[in-house]
Amino acid sequence: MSGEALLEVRDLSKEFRVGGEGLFARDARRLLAVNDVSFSIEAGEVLALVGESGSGKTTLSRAIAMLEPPTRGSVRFQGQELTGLGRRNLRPVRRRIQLIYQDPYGSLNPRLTVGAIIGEPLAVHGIGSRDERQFRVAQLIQDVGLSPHDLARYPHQFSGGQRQRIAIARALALEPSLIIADEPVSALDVSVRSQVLNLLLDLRRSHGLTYLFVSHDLTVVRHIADRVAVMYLGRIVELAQTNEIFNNPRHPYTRVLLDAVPEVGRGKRRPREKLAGEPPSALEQIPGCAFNPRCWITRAECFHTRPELEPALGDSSHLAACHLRNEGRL
Amino acid sequence: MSSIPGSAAAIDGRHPALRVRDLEVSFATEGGILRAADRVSFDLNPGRTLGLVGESGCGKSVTALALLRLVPPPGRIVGGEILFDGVNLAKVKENRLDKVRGRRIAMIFQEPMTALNPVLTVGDQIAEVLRVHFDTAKADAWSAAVDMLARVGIPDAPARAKSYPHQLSGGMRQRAMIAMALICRPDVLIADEPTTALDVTVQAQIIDLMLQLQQDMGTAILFISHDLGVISEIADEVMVMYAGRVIERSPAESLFGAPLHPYTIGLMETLPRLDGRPGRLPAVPGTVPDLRNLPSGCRYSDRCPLADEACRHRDPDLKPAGVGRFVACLKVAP
Repeated sequence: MSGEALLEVRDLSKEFRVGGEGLFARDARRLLAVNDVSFSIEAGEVLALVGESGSGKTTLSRAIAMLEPPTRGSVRFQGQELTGLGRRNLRPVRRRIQLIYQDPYGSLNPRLTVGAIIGEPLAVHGIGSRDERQFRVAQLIQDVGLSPHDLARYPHQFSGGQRQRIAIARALALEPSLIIADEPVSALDVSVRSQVLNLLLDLRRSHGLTYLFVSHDLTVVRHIADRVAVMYLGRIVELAQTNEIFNNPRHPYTRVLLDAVPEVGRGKRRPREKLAGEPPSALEQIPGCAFNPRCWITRAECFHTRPELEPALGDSSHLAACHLRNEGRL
Repeated sequence: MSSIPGSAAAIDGRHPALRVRDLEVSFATEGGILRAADRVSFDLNPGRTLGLVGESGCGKSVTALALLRLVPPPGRIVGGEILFDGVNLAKVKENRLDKVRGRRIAMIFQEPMTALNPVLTVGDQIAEVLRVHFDTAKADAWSAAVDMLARVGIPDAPARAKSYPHQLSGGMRQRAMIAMALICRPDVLIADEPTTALDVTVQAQIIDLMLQLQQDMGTAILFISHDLGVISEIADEVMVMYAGRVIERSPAESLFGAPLHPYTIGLMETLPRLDGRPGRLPAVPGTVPDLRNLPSGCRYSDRCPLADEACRHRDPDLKPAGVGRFVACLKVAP
């Protein structure tokens, strides 16, 4: 790997207090939604963050964008530390980090025309004259595969896939360097999903974008990501090149996730033994490795010593938080 | 109107549990009549699963709801037959239908919270089903409910039966809903996207569970999903819907091995895969059609790579194409 990191996250944690309001404040419990997470993204790279619900992937992405200020740790973006920045100092940063969400229905103001929606960030940041903004908006709508004629229409006149294109055009308006895309194709129909994925890949090239791509869908990640970080209960448990994650997983949870993906061509399902239990609540404190209650290859240390995210033997770019990461194929 | 014989009918010499012929469901709207399900025909056979797959607005959920006459107004069944145990459910009196709903034909949904009563314990709700349909004594119904909860894999069932739905995880709630659906040992189970809201590992567990219970009870299942992967793991036969029409119906193996309809082929090609290559995916052009604004002729003609003039003029019927296979395409089965 070469080049310098566009984004560098170090020991990031995000804690929420759960329950215990007012008089009962003493009953409040701490929920560590993101727990000591470290990784970096190079310029031009697509890093996928995968995990199941409650794994902390969305909280992590929001903490990086400073939408949920992190409780501890550091987020450096283009060399600048973002934690502790006030609202005013964050403003220029927000131009360079944009978010795209899952629901293209909820994220677009139904009362604005598409032109106004895409132009809004430009207007808010006071960029260009009215005419210049109009010109830019017309260019953006074509960048995402729609027509300038669509600018006068309203969101409800578009299909889900088209709405997601509009959300992408808006995100591009401020010429960001980093796009955080949280399940951007999960709500779309299958036949439309690949169109939007292809668009994201094309834009990465034409607009020099870097993506943090949050998804629960490993098949989608396979196509779009350069590297994949797998999260479980607030921690990254495996981080490696996409090929390595899919062909040579080193963490048993990654194996479980891959096995669970329903895929055409595998035929009718035979029960799998490796798939036991459900993820425990993040409120539960599990000594040792948090995956141990569901793991089939444990040994003694897994129950008392928490494994750090460390390189696998012979491949320094393949990190896994498993004591048995070097013990052969899973 | 040609009626299609049930392809997998009378497997093992048994009769279909449910036969649907030329079912039509319409919605009267300001913009005119929308045909949400158009001439839909199929059989559900004991111990077998028919997978119904399609994208938004294709009519799959409306078809499922119609089987128990649960289509919300302004939608209504305007034609066709739903034959169950010698009666046509499309026409039968409401009180007769109540003896079928939940007892002989049960249904499960995507979001168990909408089907479960939040102020009753799951054990009470399941026991209630037995009491309503079979007048079972209270204590017997409770112990049957606990047994059923254990059977669907809920750990420590006697204690968990006393939980309220919100105290269970999404996966456990879905198991509880399955327990409630199967407590009367229905002949037919209609499952509408039952795993869509679940995480992949939990989804896989629920699929395994449904296959296991089906083997034990011989239930005929209609399994509806937008996810071809899920369908391929559970279905014996698959029906693909597009814009209100069934465009292909085949045994699962042949459908996934060699799809016939250009839409099915397109869907399969566009599917991201675990063993896929990084980079761009083949894509189906265009968007899922709006029922208010359908192309003339074949409904897929505006997106179809094979479409010609004839396709834009004639809406093809579902026709036989090989053993047990049916396709509605002028190019494949003229």
